[in-house]
Amino acid sequence: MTAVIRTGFRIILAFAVLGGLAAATIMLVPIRSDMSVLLPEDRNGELGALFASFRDGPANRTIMISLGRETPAAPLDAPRAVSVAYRTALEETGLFEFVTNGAMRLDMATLAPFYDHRYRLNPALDPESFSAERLRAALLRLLRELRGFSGGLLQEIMQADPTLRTLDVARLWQLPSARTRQGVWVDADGTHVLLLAQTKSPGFNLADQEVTMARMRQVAEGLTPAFGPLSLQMSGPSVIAVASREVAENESLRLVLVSVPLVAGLLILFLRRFSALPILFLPLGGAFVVATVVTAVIYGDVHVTTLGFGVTLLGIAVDYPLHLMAQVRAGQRPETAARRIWSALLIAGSTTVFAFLPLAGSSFPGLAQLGVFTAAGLATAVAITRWVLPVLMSASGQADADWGSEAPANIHRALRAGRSVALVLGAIALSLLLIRQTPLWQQDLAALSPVPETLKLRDRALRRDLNVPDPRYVMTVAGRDVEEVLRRSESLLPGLQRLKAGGTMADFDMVARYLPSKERQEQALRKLPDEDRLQKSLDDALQGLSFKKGSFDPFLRSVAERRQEEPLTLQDLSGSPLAVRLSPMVLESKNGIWALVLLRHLRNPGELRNMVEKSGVEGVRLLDLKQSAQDLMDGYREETLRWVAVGAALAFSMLIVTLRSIRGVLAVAVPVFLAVLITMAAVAQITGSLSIFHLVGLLMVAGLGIDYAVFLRRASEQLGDPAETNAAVRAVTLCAVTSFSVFALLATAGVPILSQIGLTVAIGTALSLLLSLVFTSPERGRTL
Amino acid sequence: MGLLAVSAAMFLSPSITVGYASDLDLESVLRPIVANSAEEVTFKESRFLGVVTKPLESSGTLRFDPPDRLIKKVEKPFRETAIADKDRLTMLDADGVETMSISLWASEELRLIFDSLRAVLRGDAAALRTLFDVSVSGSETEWKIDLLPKAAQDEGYIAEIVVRGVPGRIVSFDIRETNGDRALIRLLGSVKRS
Repeated sequence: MTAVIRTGFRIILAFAVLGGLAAATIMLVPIRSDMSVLLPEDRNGELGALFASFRDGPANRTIMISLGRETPAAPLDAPRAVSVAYRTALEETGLFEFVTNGAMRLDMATLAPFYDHRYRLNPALDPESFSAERLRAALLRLLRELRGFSGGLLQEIMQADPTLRTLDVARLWQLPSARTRQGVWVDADGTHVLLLAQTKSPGFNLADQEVTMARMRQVAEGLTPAFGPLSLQMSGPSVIAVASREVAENESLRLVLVSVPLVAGLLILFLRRFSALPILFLPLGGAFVVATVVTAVIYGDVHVTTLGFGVTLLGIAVDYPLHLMAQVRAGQRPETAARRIWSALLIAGSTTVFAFLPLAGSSFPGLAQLGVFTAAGLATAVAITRWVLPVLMSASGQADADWGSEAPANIHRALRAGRSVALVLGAIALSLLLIRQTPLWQQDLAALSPVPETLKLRDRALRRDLNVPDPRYVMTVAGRDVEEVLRRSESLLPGLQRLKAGGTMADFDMVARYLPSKERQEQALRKLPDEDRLQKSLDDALQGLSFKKGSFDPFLRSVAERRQEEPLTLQDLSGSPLAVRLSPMVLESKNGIWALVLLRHLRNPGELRNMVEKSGVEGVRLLDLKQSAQDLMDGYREETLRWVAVGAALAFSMLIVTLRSIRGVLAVAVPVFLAVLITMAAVAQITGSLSIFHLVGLLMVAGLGIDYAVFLRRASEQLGDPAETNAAVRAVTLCAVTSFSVFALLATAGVPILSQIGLTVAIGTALSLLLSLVFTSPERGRTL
Repeated sequence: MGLLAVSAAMFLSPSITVGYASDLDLESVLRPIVANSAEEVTFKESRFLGVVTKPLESSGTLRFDPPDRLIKKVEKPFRETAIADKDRLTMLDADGVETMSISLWASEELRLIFDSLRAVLRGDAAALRTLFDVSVSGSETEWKIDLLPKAAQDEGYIAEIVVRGVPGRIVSFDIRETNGDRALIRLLGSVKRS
């Protein structure tokens, strides 16, 4: 009994130490989660900062809203009332920068900023408009308009602005018309009102975004007494991110809840020892801590994707303690078992470490970190299994139940016949991979998204109805400061307008459309006439017209004042309603500033690129975000394949050095190679094409395969000891069964990343086991 | 021409022979108007604005297609057409080419004016009561409807709209603005249709 207590105590102590280390690690090691760090080193500077700015920018904070009756097809009776009520209620929550629901109103409050800045904002100021002829034309026009029906507003503007330049400026800012009913935005069939809201919290802060979205639902419910039950639909980058995270979390929870009892059950069933569980996870925990620390020391931080994929790959380390436990014989000390398996453990461990280590040479930081993480982790797991576990395991270990001492060994021998079958299968797999109709590697990133299809469709519909710019193409104009960026953008304006008129794109938007550079503004302001000249022109224009004397004195005063004005900067506009419109189109970082040119329905990117080139403007770039993401994925895949090839060569050499016989090396290398090959072909057949996550799964299959093959090989070398063979076969089978069940479970996940890895490793594990048994099977009566 | 119109009106609205038995209420004033309102009538408009020395005059024709399409064709001193159809205002130039089209919801001023004109023309007392505080006054021979915009949602430009008429016919719309400006539209009689 005391032995059990002592063991228990040691285990608890070990876990306490581990827990403490793990907590310290997580607290002290900087963990990065922004995706820009995944970009390869050479492009990291500009593109990385750009993507980081996107992430922080207002575009990611915009939520598109559709509000309608619960029962579809029945349009709202009073769309304006619903829309205004919802907008007001949302504004009252204080969670939003702004909420808009429809067309601009023609009243002084809305027009005020355009009125105030009318000589500094675009459209370009034409000094001729102050000539007597033009003024007269403007005054005659006023006399006509005053006979119309918006006299009140007109009179507020016209005395200081007889040419009604305020309206010309305002018109430029009108959002491309979405459909309206009763003056508020509605969707294509007019049954739902649409709104746009920009949250105060950043788009990547998913926790806050979730809170905001919950409030939005609450507010919609609050409208029920007045309008009946309403259904609220939302979309936008943060909405999709939250939905993705929810799916991922739910799936992960479900998987953990099922897999943990499953694995625990299997292990207890086979090992007959409850202490088996903590012992099993100790090397894994220690591996995680050491791997994280080592990666952090070398790279300064650890990326969240490294942790995610790294932990998956470290799953290989779960096999090592299983081998140890399988080898403990009745009455023997665990130390003895450890020594017995040490050579196999060392060979398997070092081979796998050398297979992964070359990834550290990649120029993609994500891959490099993964290589170091996995190598360090596995090495640690081996060390812990060899030296720490035996101390913790009970001295009086019970031998495992025998299946019948000869059976595993006999099965093993019998499987030798399967060699030729295996090779044929390998050949078939190879031909399937080489002779394909469709590309082997996946081209469509969208398939990797865990977002449900309904949400994707809704997003597309809302973008279309609200005329929100495409998320795919965006042009950036870089510069040292806002002034440079505005000047460069201005140079592009004529070309862009030409392309728009020609149909190359439906529309474009950028700050330079509204705000001229300081240079241009100064030029315009200088051209404003001085007081005397203007007085003369005005007097000439007023000849014979029935305006009262002095009606346009405010105009004279206004121009005189504004001649002295400083050019308007973006800074000046901050806090005004105009800023809300402009700020999404300017990104700042420590390296400089980008102006964004938002595009809608760009039909011919090539033409746009040509125009930019011919214009000779510097610092302009057309980004195809979809293509960039695809290229990034392709890059990772190619790098992985290249460095893994190096790793495979290293691993192979490692085997030669340690096993010292060609037959031995082949017995290990061939099943691993065939397992990966056949798994690859099988998965490609099932899913149609392979993604980078399938590739990660294949890496794991290789790792597991090496493990199985090496242990079986060592076992079959000791032909004189059937117990050895039995133990090895049992251990390997147990490893395979647990891995298989966990990953088969993962294959059912709704998140493509997880299901792809799960499918690959499940198939690969089964194949690795079989093929390892086949190729390490000893010939009858042969000693090697 | 005017005589013809009056006799036509008398012929078409039987209630004229009856006169107003009880005191005036909105419905009884509006009812006989409805029958005549789908005609094209000529108008003369005078604008009294603080910023000009003499009133701005214009004239043309006004046509109403019930329930909510009002077409004002200005012929003098320039040619222009304004079409208020449901909640949209469209302007056409002398050649009939569209120069502007805005939603009436964009301007409180415009919406009030057109909604009131159309409500009166189609006899929609309920709509008038929703938008305005209504008071009716007058005698057997003439009536007056005072429309005061209901508590202004924003700083309204319209102070008051006064509709005057004789039994069965609108004589004038008088739109008074808060800044003292005034628009007086006098309806003169139906255009003879060919």
